[in-house]
Amino acid sequence: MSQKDAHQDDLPVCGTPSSLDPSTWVDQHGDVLYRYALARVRRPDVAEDLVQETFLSALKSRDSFQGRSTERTWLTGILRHKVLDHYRSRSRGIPEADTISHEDWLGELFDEKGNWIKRPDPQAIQPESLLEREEFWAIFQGCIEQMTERAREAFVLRVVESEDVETICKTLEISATNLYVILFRARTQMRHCLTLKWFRAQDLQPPSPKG
Amino acid sequence: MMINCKRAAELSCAKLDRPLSIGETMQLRFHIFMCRACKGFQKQNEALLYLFDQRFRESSKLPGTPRPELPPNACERLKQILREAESDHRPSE
Repeated sequence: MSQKDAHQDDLPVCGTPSSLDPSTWVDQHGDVLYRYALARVRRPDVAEDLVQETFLSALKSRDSFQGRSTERTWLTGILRHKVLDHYRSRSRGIPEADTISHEDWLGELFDEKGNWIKRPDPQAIQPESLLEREEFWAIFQGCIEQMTERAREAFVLRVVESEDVETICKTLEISATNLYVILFRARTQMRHCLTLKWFRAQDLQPPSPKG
Repeated sequence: MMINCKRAAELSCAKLDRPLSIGETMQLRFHIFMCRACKGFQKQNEALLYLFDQRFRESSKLPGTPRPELPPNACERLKQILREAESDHRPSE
């Protein structure tokens, strides 16, 4: 890996993206594709396999590359399909039952009258101040790890890829009702995890003083 | 009729994934107008989406976001595979 410059990633390849040069793919795009995959499948070996499949598919369909997008965008598009295929193949045979009942989970958040047990504080998550804090991202990652595999997949498809509900249901082979429940739980769970852990961490290690 | 916080939380999440009915929209708006906690919840939810998006988008070059790299042995393996596939692709050369 020769190009490790942080900004190198963004530069178009030699100015003319109209032709493909597979011999440079690994150096030029390998890390970016790997990160894309790893963020979505979590297991490094699977992420590597997906990148490999992407390169091989790209080679096979190189004639379909028309130079309308950059090489990077084109490869990422192929990888995106590989990730969806992976989700699809995985979702077969996973019973839905474990994802449906969320009353227990809600019971931790709300009392029997439906009121908050611990009222959310609007100041609790301030994204702008968190973005550049390394320790925050470590906690964030930890919270993502706590999600069930399927919740994370659904969440990524919905929030990051902005896929519509129908596509996600087809990919994960679940009903729309079920998806809403999974997403609702994923959202509240992440929020809960972040407020809990971030505040605990801040108690121990106060952030830099204001002003 | 005023909905409770649990229902309001459900609706404010659902709003992100499906269109709410007019009745649901009114119920949610009214509740959030009256309830500081649920307003906070909604804000946190929006913040969460933003953070999640930032975390997963490669274009974000935020300091502190983890940037794992393809392991060197995998790089070599992939290069090898690409070379072989290339030579298969053009046997005449």
